[in-house]
Amino acid sequence: MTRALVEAAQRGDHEAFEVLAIAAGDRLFRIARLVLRDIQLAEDAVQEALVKAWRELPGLRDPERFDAWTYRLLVNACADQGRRHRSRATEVRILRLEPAEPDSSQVSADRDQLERGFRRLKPDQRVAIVLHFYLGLSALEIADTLGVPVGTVKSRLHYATEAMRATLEADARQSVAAANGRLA
Amino acid sequence: MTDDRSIERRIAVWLEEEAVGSLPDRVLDSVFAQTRVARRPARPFAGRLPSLPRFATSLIAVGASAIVIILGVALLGRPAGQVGASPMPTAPLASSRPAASAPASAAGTGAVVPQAQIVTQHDGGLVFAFGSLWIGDAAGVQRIDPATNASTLVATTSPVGGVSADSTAVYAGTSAGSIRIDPGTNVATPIKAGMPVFGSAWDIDQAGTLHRYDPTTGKETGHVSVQGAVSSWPNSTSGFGSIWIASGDSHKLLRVDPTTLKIIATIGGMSTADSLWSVGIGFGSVWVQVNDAPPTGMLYRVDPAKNTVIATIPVGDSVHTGQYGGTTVAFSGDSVWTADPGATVSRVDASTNRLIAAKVIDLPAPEFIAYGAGSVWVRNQDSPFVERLDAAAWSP
Repeated sequence: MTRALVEAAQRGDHEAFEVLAIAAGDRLFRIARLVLRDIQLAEDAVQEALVKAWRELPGLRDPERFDAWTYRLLVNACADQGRRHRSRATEVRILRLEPAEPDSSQVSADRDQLERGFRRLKPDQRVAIVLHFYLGLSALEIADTLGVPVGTVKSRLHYATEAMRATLEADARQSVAAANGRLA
Repeated sequence: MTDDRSIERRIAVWLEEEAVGSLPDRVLDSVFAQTRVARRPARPFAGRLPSLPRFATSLIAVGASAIVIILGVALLGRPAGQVGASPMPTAPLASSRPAASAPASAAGTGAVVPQAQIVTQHDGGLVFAFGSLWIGDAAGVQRIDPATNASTLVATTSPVGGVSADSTAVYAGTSAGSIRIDPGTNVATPIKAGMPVFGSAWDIDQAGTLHRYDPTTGKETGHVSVQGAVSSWPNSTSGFGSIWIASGDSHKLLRVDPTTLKIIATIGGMSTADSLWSVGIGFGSVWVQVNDAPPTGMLYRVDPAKNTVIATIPVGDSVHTGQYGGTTVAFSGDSVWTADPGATVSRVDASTNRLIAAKVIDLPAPEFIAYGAGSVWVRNQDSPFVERLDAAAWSP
């Protein structure tokens, strides 16, 4: 089904493209939002990626790779948005789109720590983390999607994970120190 | 100590929780409005040279260290309106045929027909130096001989970002560090920091700080905040005893003393469009390009003696493609060259500060531009090739 739609869109069938874009939209938006940590930038990135998809669809050699190809377009669009709006993005706090569930303070603290750790990652590392841990792509699949060597992907995943671990552990140490201070 | 599985599980769960929301309909509406109205532009090579991707892929697949893709002039030839234009100064491209028989433009789009496409795997930088084009690529730096368009992979390394050159060597920043390439031998040597400028290496980080390093040790010797400058974009240069940084966020050109690291001039009076800026030095001036300043791109000429804008030159096209490729500024014997996200390459007469010609090319998001061997070389964002365009197409 998807293959037929992709092939039709490649031939210039705009309705087929619309079906593909609608089907991919939410998924791409969530990925962009994870990477960019900003709703507006994520919308812009998805828009940019989809417009580009239409323009460059005839160049896609294997219609079966449509999803991976759109991920690549999106990742590049995210990088673009990040570059253009870098300083602004750092000032934006994420607003949750859904009402937060009643959280225990520990869960909230955990989320905050992960958020802090993730925001400190380089853009390439964020992308690797999202594609691997959210989409479940292997390092080889990520390398194929991004067009970079698999060793590069493994390196990005390794250092990103280590960086997040370091943030979590530093926060844990600070919590202990604060608790000790209060006790003293 | 947090074990591997624990941290990975926590990250996965957190991402799953954070991955909420739907793409608003207005975004899709905007996408469809653009794609319906604009339709898909014809791609000049799509129907004529269908074997290009397979050819390139097969070469890469067998691990060829040199990839040579020669297209273009051979089959497509010189753009319209160039009757009597002087031929390229270099040897003719390998499979060229007489320009007189060539079609006027790419598939009727009006886009300038490329002379050649050079296949790449990665969107690194471009520089024309030592008689060659140097391209940052996924597996190293490609060196292109403009006489034949033959490519040699001269530095096998990790993916290359920026590429630059001084009078002695070519320098490339890779994900594994910086390298220096001897243009005489093509031998690449790891170096502690980037290309030495004013005796130091320089970098701008994402927090907007300009760092200065000792090029022999790689140790930082000073820094200054230039908040608003873009770290991952080629928007800084050096000349007239200063480091110049164009900031698309603050809409200013900053001039930094490389010795004291003081900002000695902040030059405004340029576009306030939210856009990427590029900066280059040529013809005794600093040139700043704002590539998306509707209704056109803008090129500003700054007098370094007065630190003021002395010319404002509209360049490019008001038709925005929706792409945001940033570009560098390039220089030829008498002209300044820019590209913009309207898929336009512009040539400006440096003696009159007037636009000579702006022509559409078949690249929606030009990212880097270089000039050399009578050609303009343009890399598009994300596209797997660098296009070579005959500069004569921009003749007055």
